[in-house]
Amino acid sequence: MKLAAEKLRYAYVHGSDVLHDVSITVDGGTALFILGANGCGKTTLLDCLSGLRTPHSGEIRIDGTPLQDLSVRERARRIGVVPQLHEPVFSYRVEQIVLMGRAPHLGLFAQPGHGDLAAVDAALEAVGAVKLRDRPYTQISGGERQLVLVARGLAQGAGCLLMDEPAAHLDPQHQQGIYRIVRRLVEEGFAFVITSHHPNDALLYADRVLFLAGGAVIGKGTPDAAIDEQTLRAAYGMDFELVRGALGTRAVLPCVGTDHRAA
Amino acid sequence: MTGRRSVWIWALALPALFLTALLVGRYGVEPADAFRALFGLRGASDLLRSLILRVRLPRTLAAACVGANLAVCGAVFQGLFRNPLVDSRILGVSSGAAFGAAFALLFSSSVSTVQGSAFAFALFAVGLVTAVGWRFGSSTLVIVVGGILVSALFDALLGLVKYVADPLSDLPSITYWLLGGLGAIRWAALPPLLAATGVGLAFFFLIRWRLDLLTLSDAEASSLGLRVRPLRITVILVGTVIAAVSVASAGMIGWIGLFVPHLVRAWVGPAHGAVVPASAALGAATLVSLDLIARTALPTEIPLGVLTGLIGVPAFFLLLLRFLRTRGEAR
Repeated sequence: MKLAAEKLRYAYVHGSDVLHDVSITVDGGTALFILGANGCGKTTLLDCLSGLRTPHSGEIRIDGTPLQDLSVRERARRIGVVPQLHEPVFSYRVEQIVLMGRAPHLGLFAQPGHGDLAAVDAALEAVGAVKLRDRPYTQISGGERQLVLVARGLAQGAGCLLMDEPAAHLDPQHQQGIYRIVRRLVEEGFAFVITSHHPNDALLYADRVLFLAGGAVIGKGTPDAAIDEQTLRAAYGMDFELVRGALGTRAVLPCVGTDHRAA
Repeated sequence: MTGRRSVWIWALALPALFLTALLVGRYGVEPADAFRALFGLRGASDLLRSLILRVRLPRTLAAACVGANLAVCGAVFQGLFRNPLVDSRILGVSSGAAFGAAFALLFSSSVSTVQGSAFAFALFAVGLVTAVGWRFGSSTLVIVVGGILVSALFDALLGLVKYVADPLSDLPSITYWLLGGLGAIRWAALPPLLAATGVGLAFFFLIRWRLDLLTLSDAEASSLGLRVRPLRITVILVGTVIAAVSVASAGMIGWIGLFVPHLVRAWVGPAHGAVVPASAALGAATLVSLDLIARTALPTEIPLGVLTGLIGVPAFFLLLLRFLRTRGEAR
């Protein structure tokens, strides 16, 4: 599994570039965190990687095959998307939601069969959500929904999962719950591309980090190397202090009152 | 699983109801006589037999088809537009059909001409909506706004037709048609209705699992490997054909497409594998029953559109109350 993007450029109609010469590489068994301020192009980058948006120039390859050479179905068997928390209109059960991940393996008139249900079981097992199987998706918590959507990506058979702000709206315990599952899947060989607003999440859970500012890459590498005070200031427009806790955990603390844009 | 059982109860109740509708009517007071006539038993009246076979049977078949079509179209459109408050009317089927029928009634009183014109304009209205929608990306928002605009256009055209219609002859027949009813249905009118119903319902049954995926957002469905635009347009067109052929046969009949799918989802859950067949069965049962009431309750026939409104509105109000109760917003 290898997802590589080369010199992506993307612009909305009548606008300047949202992405400018962005290149990334994600191998199986790694979690890449994309960090940056609001509007820096994180979600647009994710949309390009999932095929939802077509970059104006540059190329995305998955295992060497250009993304645009794959059919929508073939793409969905390789790349899964875990959207931000969403509220469906109809109260499907968790099992039915995960089963939807089997769509790229089934023809237009086909019905899911035993093999597909087995894939759902395995996926729920992998994220530790077996007990949610018969619950209505509308009635489970935000953290549980994220797990279910990860399971849906696994049921797709995708080796690479794209997650947009998986920890948004979650309390610390549920954030950790999601990221622990992500780490376990990474150890099993899956690749993850995750956008986040929190540099600390990247310090705790990332293998690689990419900083975007104004649609351009301003820093990349391992979390320890890439997350430094200059890059944080360039990314967020304010000062941060890097600290190390008594247990050895590195963390980023905002320096209050140093907003350069407000000054 | 109690939900699944009640579907089967309905599936068995439907033939029984259908038989009842054949046996009961204003002519032939004794259902026993009607039963003998229907099956050609001894002592049967030929007149009653011919009445049942040539009038009640096509009419009841039409009621079943129209009810099933409107309910299934409503269920599918509610999923497709991710909005539980829409039905086939959202895209201008009814407004187009109403104008088409009224326009034809200016020149002709032939049932098939009026039906053909209603059907053609219903398709034309939705065709206009989807063509405009396709041009602007076929998002549900664009399609819904297009439906509202095209409906408004045809409502205005209907007003124009009524304004120029002869107030002594044409206007009453336009008004009567718009009230809805199956009184004019004979065998000759059935083949297009039966064919469209069979093909349309079979199509929705075959793609029932994909319909679940269409209830997701476009981006999500596409990330799951669906080519959303062509699938959505196909579903809209098939839904439009079965709704248009129904409205063309029976006039303006509201509410069935709205409340039947709600009842069905409360019973069997939201999966279209259950919702499509259950909506078809319950829609058919509902309209067969309502038509039976329409032709027997009073000395004159009650317009079917009026009856569905009179019964449908309180039913929908009760449903709404139930919905609010489950949300804890009403007691």
